[in-house]
Amino acid sequence: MSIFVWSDSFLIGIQEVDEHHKHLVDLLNLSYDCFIQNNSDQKQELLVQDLVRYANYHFEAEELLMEEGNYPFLEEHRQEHGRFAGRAVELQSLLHDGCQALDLEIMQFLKDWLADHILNSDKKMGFYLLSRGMDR
Amino acid sequence: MSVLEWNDSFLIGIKQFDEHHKHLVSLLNMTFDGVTTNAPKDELEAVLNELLDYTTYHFAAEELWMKEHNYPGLAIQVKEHGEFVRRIGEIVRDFHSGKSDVDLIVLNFLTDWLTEHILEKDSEYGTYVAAKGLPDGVDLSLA
Repeated sequence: MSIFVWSDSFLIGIQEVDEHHKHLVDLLNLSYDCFIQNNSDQKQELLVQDLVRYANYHFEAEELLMEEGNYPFLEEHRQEHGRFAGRAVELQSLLHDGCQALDLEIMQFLKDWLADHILNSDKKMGFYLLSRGMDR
Repeated sequence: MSVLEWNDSFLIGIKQFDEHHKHLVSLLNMTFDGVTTNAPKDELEAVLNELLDYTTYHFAAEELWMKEHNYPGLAIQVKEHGEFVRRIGEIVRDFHSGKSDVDLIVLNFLTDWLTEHILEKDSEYGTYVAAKGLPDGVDLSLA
């Protein structure tokens, strides 16, 4: 089952970034499956770890693109990444210490954040970079 | 038929953004047509996707322009744009997944939001431009 149904309305037009986003959505859906099936805490922790690692890798790639393109909203965008990363670290340590298991509220937060971030911030970045010929 | 008739009180005085606004109004009317004529799901979905895409494109252009010209109302614009895109995004996704339909309540929301936003928030940066004698828009056209 999917908590995040991908649709082409999430494409921003930069292939590398779109592939990252699809993969992030897949990872999020895997975590959701794990939560729904009530898998072991250890498995939940591993899947969230994958998701967070990939998110950080992806954020770095995006920030590099924005730096290369002198994107005027780089700082704001970087801060959004930072807020997500901070929340993710918190979640990871709670899962690790056994203080918390995945719940629907966390899944919803991750999904809403990602959907929102792609549609608002990443699309804006995409239009800017594409208009300056950066389309890899 | 139209859910929103364009009239020149919507003009803010920056040519590029006035054209964007006109196009947004026409996409909104196309959505309205699709709903009232019971268009096939994939046709209506295509119009909704276009409305979402064009809205994000237009907001990006406006915000970049505001950033470049140190427009003091940028933060409130980004906030309002963000909320609107979030809502359209939900409408598009819920329609895509079959969770909910696009009805007159949704259309009214879109129409009211767009009208108020252009007349109140956007007209303010139109006035700012006129006062400062700044150039038109920002070029985000794709090569």
